[in-house]
Amino acid sequence: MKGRNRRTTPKRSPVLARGNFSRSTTSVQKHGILKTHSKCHVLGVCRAPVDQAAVMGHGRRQSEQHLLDPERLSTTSTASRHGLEHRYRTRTTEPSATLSGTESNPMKLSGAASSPWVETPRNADAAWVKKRSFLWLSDTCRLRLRQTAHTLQNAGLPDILVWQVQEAGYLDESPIQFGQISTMQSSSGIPSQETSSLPESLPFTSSQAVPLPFPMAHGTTTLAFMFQGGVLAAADTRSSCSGLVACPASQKILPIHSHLVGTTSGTSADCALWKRILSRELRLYQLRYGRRLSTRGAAKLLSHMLHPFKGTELCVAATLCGWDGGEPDDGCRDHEGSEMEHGEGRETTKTPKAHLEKTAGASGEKVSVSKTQSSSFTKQQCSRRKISFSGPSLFYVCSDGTRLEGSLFSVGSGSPYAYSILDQGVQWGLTVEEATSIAREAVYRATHRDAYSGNSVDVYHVTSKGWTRRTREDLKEEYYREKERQRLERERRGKTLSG
Amino acid sequence: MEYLIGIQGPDYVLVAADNVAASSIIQMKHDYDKMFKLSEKILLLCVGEAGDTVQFAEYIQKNVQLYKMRNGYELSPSAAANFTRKNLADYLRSRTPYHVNLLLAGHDESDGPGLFYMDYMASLAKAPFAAHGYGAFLTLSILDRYYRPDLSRDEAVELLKKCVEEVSLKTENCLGPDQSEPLNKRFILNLPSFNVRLIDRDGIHDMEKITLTAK
Repeated sequence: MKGRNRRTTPKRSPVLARGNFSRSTTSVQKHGILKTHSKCHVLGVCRAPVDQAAVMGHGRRQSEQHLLDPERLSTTSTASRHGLEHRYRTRTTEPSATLSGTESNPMKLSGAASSPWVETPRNADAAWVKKRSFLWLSDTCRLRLRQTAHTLQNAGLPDILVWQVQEAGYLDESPIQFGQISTMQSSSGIPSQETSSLPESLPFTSSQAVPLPFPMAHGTTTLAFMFQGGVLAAADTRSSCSGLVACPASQKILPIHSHLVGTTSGTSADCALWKRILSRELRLYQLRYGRRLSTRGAAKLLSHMLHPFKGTELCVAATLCGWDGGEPDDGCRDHEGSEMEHGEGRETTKTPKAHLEKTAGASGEKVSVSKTQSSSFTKQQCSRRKISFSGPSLFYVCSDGTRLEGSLFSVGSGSPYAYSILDQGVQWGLTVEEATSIAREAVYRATHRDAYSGNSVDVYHVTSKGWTRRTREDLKEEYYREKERQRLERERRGKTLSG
Repeated sequence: MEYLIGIQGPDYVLVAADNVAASSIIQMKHDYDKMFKLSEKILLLCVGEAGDTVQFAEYIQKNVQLYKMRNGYELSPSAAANFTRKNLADYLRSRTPYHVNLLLAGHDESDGPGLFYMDYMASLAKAPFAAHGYGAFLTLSILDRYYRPDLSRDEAVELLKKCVEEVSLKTENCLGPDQSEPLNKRFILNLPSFNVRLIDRDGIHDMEKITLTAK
């Protein structure tokens, strides 16, 4: 490995240096995508005929592709050339190598990837992106990149990032392959690339996944609601696998960026992966267009990314809770999300309340100086359809295609129990303390009744300053506290009756 | 569980849809709008499988708008309905058919008002009145009885209210044990409110939402 990295001339043949995606060699030659660099050939994975077949059987229909293709509008063909439609189109030029390099190992992006957004100030982001992009490229890629950057610099463009923004490298297909691989390959052989009809003779249903190692379960209780202090999200922490508690301390609320968290429900692995993919896409959007995508946009993006997998066993039911702000490049003061860990108990109210007042003040201020047209917060509540909306946002996105905007959602097997508690108490005018308490209680009641929810509760609060997390609380303690309370109550009643 | 209804008059079309977005036994939203505006004078009402409705309706919506951008004039309701039906039919025999039931309502300058009924099998029928959902079983006979081609707008709204009352109160006409009020509001066949819109020569007009409270 050491010797190879010393190479100074770019390679011409698509031989993989690390052998991670060996299947792609032939496909890359056939399709001629990204001829040069080994690490950047992940895009070739889905282009192999084998994978195309798998993906075609696996995927859904064309939707957005029709839109922009005139001949397709009038065609009678039902199937797409690439069964897995994705809202991205491919560009086969080299600059996309950077993006594909980062995309090549989405799972390997370390956890530290998300924390810099939360903790570091904005001017470190550019450096972070450069660093991360270079990290995953092979040396030949890097050299190429430097060469290209050099040429561009000579051409007058100041920074490599500017070039990135100009080049919108979209994917034609997802670089990640799910579900069926070998079943389609063995049954139908290698279909022609220009096939215009999907194989119709399949007797099975549309989901033919690789057999799961153990049955996945979708048990959880997650909830999220909007109130005057922002958005509150709460979830239990039990991961179950058909009767077994696989992990009593999992994290079901995943931060996506400094002002957006998502609760997850369904298959844990799917949720974790798609959250990361969403993070990546939002980050790319931010880099390209210089502003954060709104929660509505993020919900739509996630919904469209999940659409090709409809009908398969992918199960993601997420609520995106976010705060949409003004222009991020103004150097706004309230743009650094802080992760404050609150202590347990009611005395934490001081901090969130002070925080809340600051937030309200800040948001009011920010609104007036920002470029948005709305002048006051309440006005924004009414005019939610405006692009310049600034404030809390809550969307429910499900892998079956549902995408709903709302102010209160609960998802999972314990959701009916949570709904009943929430319906009684949630209104717009709650304080942060009251809201936290009702969220905690809703999760507690749901965990009490639902077998697949339990262990602890996580509470996240999203404001204009970003998200903050309350310390995880074990609900066993709450159960014992309640038992104690009930006992005392009984005693008290017994005394009053007798006395 | 979802309900759509359309009534065509001499120079207008009146359409209504319920406001519930449900997921198994829970109503996730009480104010969900099932009507998609295809153009200035065409509305598409869409119910059916969870993700398919929005995906398909938005796809049709964007294509109709694209047609307008390309050619400078809008598709007529009849053309839009046929385009929609064609797409449904194309995907019907694929591995990923859209399971959606549609009503397309529009007003054309030369042809006048039109109401088109489409279902997930890609059938298309231009009808003077139409309905989708379980509520259709209850309300089509009301429409048969009271509909006339020369209904005035007020009369049409009254007829619509009759139908809607039938749907929202009769489908769960099982009263509670004390026979005084209907059952709990979270029952899935409970359709408490409806969006109503009217399309005529001047475009699409939002009418007052019909909200039925427990008597």
